[in-house]
This record gives sequence, C-alpha cells and structure tokens, in this order.
Amino acid sequence: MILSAILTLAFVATGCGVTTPATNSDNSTSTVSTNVNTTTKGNGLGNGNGNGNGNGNGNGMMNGGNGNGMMNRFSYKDGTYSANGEYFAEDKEVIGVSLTVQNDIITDASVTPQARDKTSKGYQLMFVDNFKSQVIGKKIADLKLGKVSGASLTTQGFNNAVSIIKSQATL
Amino acid sequence: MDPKSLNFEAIGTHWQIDIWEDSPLFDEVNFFAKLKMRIEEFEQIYSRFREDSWFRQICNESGSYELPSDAKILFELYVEFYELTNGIFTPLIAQTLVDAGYDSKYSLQSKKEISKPKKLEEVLEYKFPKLVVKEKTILDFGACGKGYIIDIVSEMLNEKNVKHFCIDAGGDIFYKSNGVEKMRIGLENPNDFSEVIGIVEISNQSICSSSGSRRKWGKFSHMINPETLESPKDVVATWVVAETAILADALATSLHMVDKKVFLGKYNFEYVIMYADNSVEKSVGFQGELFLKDM
Repeated sequence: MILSAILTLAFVATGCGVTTPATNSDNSTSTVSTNVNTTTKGNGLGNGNGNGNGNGNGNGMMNGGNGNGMMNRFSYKDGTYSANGEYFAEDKEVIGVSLTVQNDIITDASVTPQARDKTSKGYQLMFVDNFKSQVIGKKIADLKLGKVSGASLTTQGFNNAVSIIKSQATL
Repeated sequence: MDPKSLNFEAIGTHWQIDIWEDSPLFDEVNFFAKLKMRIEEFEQIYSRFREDSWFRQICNESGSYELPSDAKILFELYVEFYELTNGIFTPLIAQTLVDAGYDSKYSLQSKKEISKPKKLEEVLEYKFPKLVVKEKTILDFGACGKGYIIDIVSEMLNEKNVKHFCIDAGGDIFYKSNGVEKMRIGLENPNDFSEVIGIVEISNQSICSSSGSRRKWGKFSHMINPETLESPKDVVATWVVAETAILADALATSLHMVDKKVFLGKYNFEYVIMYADNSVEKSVGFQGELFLKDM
C-alpha cells in the first residue's frame, strides 16, 4: 500500500513526520509543515532518534474509500487510513497515526500514543500536542509593518450597541 | 517621500488612502473629495444599513428595475459564487443577519427563530442590466462589497495616472506600486489585536481578511452559514491575496464556510486559514511568513 510506504518512509526520515502528498496544481494546498522530530529515548541511551534507528514498520489498515467514479484523477483513494508505526527505543514502541485523504489532500490527521515505556509515552504525547502547526502572536509594535490586515475596525454604532448590551447584562 | 493621506469613515469602517504622487499639478484635495463622494454614492446605492439606500427601496416590493452600471461586476461575482458554493454565498443572507440582530439599528438582539435564506431564483431574476425583484426582500453585499468599492477607488486612481498608492479600508487593502516596492502587511491575531500571527508582502495585489472577532454578539458574528444558521466557529480568521479586492474579499468570507478546494483552480489566489485551536493552513504559493510555535 502506497500510503503505508509513505508512512514508513516518514518514520525513517524524521522519526515521526507526516507529509502532505504534493498535488499537481500550482494553487494547491498544504497543511503547514508538520515535521516533528520526536526523539524517543529510553533511560538516556538515546536510541531511536529518528535518523534511521527508528525501525519504521507500517502496519496499515484502511477503512472508508468512498469511490466516486473519478478515481483516475487522484493518486490516492479517498478515505481514512490508519497505521501503527513501530520503532525501537529500548524496547519496541508503537505510535498510531490516522490520516484522512480527500482528493489527494490530507484533510485531517491524528496520532494515538501507544508507548509502554513512560519516557516514550511522554514524547509521543508531546508529539500529539504539537502535531498541527500552531501560530503565535507577535506584538505589532515590535515589527516593522506598513499595514495590518484583519477584522474590520467597527463603526461607532456597532461598538455603542455592544457596550449598551454589556451594561444591560451587568447587574 | 511621505504619502499624502486621506482618512475618513465610510461603509462601516475606517478608510485610509495614501498616495505617493509628487507632481505639483496634482490637486489631491479636490481628488480626495471626489473619491470620498464616490464611496458615499456606493453606500447610498448598496448598503442595507441605510433604510433609504437604492437597493433597500427597490426591494421593498416586487418590480423590474434597471441596475446601475457598477452593479454588473458585483452581481456576476455573486451569481458565480452562489453556484460554486451551492447557495452558501448569497445576498439573501441579509434577512438571516437581521433576524440575528445585525440590522440597521445594530439591535444585536436575536429573534427566537432566524430565517433561512430562500433560493436566489425564487426572489430575483438577473440579466444585466435588468433585475426583477419577485417579492419583498433585503439584499446584503457584505461578503465582498467592501472589496468591490476598493477596486472602484483603485480604478479612479489609475485613471488619474497615480502609480503608487495604498487603499486600506479597515484592514482590507489594495497596494499599487512599480512592482519592486512591496507593502509589508501583518496578519492581525484575532485573539489579540495588538499582535500579528504572520507577515505577507504584496505588490499590485489586494489582501482581504475576514474574522468574526470584532463583530460578534451573543452566539453570532456578522457571518452566518445559511445552511446551519450558525456563525462559523472552527475557522477564526482567513486572509486571501488576489489581484482584485472583490475576489480577495469574497474568498476570505467564503473560506469560513466552504472548503478551499471549491475555488482552487478556478481563481488565482493565495490564502491563510487560522482555526480555533490556533492551527494554521496556507496555500503553497503564499508569499509570507507565519509565526509558528516552537515544537
């Protein structure tokens, strides 16, 4: 199965990384890079650091795949795919990955930590938390910007109405 | 060179128009007055927040009308998006918004039951320049009206041969330059308006953003999905860069409720979508930087 092969590759290449398959349109989409290196180590020995030591073994399982008669256009069948990746920290550890593919784009992904070793489990949980790239804010004052694009500044009318309602709601 | 700036309030937001025009013959005072007048004229025709606007009046009862010439681009975009989005993008969302409390008096008090928009063809028949209003209705052009008036102003500046300008209507922006000069624009953090979550550079393009973060009351924001009759919650902010502001604005609104794949390949645009859990998604060609949390 192609997808589990990709998963296996991803495990070998980056420890635990899931990459979005490229699509053929210029205006295609990508979830912001989700390469996360989970360095999994047992008792400070630093095995399985994601550079080949991770013995990625994808046991793939698939469900879904709602054939829509246009299969030829896409490389992957729509559906939700789950796979368990195995790697060796001190002992064999397993991490579960589930991907939803629609029109060749990964539309959702989740990770289930299954590690037995406490340290490994900690790292896997950390990976789950950071799996989707999250943004942080930086103070506008600290940046050199020409303009800021965001929700429209609102009119006095709207703001007044909101403050009236707030004062009514406050006892 | 410092720009000459015009600042004012119109169509429910703050405007700043900057021009870098060094010809001593250019009478910017007079020209700025004309620009402002044009924006006010637009509002007087299209705004549903003015009870005496042209559209409010013609939609008060059934009848057949001749549309003003600037309605063509706007109506064609609405018809195209209405079809593409299976009715999610519709000017008939107006009554739904009014029911939810977003009316010309900003009552912000929702009715118990808010109404679902009817099918466009049940209410309107459009063939430019003719518009048949089949029954009393109210139209909302808020999903891209601001973008469109930005384009109209931009065209007026082009006609005057102004080659370097920036139009900022409450954070929806069009920047024109020689192509080398770029405008560095921060993407406002919807959770903290003193912050940005990324930076984009544009030139001869528009960036429009959409977020319910400033216009929300009770469980609603100024965007309501006509199918679920709820304001979108998963997506908290969108930014779209496109060649025209009307397109950027329409897409920024749509991406709150409609999957981007509906539009990919049909229009040229780049996007950033921010979700409620602070995760983000961007198009491959997005010319900017997002501030990602260290992992």
